[in-house]
Amino acid sequence: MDNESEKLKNTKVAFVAHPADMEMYRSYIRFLKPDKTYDDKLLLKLFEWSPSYKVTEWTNLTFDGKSFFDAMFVMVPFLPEMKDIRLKKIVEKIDQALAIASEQQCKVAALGAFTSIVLQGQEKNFAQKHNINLTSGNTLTAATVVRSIEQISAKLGVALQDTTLGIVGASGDIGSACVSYFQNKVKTMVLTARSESSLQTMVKNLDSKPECTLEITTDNKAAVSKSDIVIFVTSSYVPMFTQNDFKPGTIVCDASAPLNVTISDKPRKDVFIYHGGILSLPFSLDPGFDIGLASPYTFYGCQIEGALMALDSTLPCSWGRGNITKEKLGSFLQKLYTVPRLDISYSVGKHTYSEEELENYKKEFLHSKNASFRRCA
Amino acid sequence: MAMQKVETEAVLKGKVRKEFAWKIISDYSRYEFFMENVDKVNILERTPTQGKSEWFVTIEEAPLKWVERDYYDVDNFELRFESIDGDFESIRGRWKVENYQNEGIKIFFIIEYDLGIPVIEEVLGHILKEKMKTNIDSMIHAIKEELTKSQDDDRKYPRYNIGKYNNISLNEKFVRAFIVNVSQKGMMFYYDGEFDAQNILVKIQDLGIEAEALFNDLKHKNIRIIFKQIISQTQLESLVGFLGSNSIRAYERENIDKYMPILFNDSAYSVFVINISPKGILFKYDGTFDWRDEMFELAGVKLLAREVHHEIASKTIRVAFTDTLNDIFFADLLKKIKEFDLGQQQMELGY
Repeated sequence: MDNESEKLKNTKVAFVAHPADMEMYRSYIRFLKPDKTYDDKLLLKLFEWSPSYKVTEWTNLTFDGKSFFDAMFVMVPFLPEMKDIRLKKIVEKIDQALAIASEQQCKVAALGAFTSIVLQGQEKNFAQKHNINLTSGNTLTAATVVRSIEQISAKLGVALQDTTLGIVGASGDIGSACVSYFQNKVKTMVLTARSESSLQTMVKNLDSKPECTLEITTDNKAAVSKSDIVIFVTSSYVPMFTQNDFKPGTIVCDASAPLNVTISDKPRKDVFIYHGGILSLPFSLDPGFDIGLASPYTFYGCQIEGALMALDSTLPCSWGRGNITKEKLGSFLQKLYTVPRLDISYSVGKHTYSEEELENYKKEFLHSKNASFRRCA
Repeated sequence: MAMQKVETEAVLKGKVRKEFAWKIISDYSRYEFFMENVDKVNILERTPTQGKSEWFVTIEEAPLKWVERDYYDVDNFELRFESIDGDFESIRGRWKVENYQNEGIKIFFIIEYDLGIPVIEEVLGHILKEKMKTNIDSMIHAIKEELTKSQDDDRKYPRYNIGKYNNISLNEKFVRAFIVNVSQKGMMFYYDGEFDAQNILVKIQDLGIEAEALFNDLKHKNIRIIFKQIISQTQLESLVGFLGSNSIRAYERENIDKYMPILFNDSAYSVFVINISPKGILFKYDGTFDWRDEMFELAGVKLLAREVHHEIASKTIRVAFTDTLNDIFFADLLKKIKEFDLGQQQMELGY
């Protein structure tokens, strides 16, 4: 390839991902083979045996109509339901995915869901091996989550400074970034994780002393029941809550993959639940099958971080745990303000909330607040 | 994606009969007892030549199921199968047993499959092929082991040669069978009637024995049955004694002893009929015939037979009916032969 055509070539990002759960994988198989159903155990084994592979690619994508990039979706055949699979085998599959991305001349590989957790601590080695930038995408996810909380609470008439914010999975990478961001913006924070000591360590490592009241617990249920806003950022592969577990007037941002909150066919009118960490885009990223999003014009923040990095080489990558500094978060929050037509998406399941629905929630929240006030009086 | 093919084979040297291997291969219902990867096979339909079976197999913890049509070619020891439903888009194949060089047998097992899930099957490609190959290798190995075991087991019990026709009760029906041999474990005999080969009840003298057919060679009519419980040495000796001393002819022969014309190829030949049975006729004739399943007429009855023995010195010829005559047909033929009047026939034929 001559220098001129090399110059014309778009920068490229690889979205390295796996289905969030069994249902999403079943739906993928239904897309591939619509007329048949298979035993879950068989499907799991076929997937376990499979090496990583390229699913599809998109070309000439742009936010601003000036800078273009290409993207490809590399499947890592893994599911959290694969309980017997060896860690070494998953690492092997991620290694294969990165080899494909590198071969296809991707500048960045964004590691989605468990792939980033599995590779934690080894990112540098793999980046060097495949000559590719790696990112977990956690910084943009965290930026998307905190920005969405600020935005939606304002829209629904919830004053952040008066609220109790519950963060489930607070000691994780995204969780701790949220704690750091909101420590001076809410009245109370209730932080939960599987281990109390990891929460204490995380709080101790905060840049400044939090101005809000801080509660630490391992009791998720208690934390959720007293919170006005709840953020889920766990690595649990089973749902932890249903929509009925929240008090009226609660905002729930579920940014876990797989999701932690189960929604019924009839969503509650007095609890606003949305899929956190999702961005709306000016272009479609439709692989043809269900990837757990409401619209092809939305995508996971963690993957879009890779795209932004491919377009802007000054952006830092997200590696490891607890490395989302205020500065890093700030630079991605800045992108949310400056990149044209890159917005927060509010959706639940296959449904994207309309402005009218948000208005109705606002009314319902006001009603809940008054009712609560009357009860107190 | 195109069908993928895996094949394997096993050789068993020594005095191994194809029938033994066939018995094990064609009895799917027993696979689960000696094949680790076969969880269950439900026999949905079964005739001597065709069947339908439902398979539940686990390949390296992956449970697979399908329903297949089976085609049994006992004459050629070949079993073909083809799926009609199940996890595979298509799975078909065949078992084949052949003689190996001078002694022994060779078993072939071939499978062609198409998983039918786009993308996944392409990605899996050689990985699935390796697993399928390991699977069929383990199946043929299990067949070989089972065959070796049954051969060893079989040789433990000496066989007593009988070589005589006897009346035995087979599934509550008295039949004439040529008993070849008997042991504490089983019996071999020739019989050309139909019977349920899976659930056999043989009664000889006062002894009732439950058995199943090890093989039922429909072409050569030879059957080896295996007793479900080993009989005692005393019972065996009693059986051998009874079968040896109470033999009967295969079919009772009726003496005729008269001249009769045989119409053959538009010509009439005068022969001296000695006797007749449902199996054939013995007669004397000066000339020669060359019969190969041809039609002739005797006492106004059309018959199909072949020459089986022609003794020039005594001028006796034995012909065997192509199909054994049933009781009604034979009784009618016998009646016509006995009533036959040569004078009347001579007049009609213009002698």
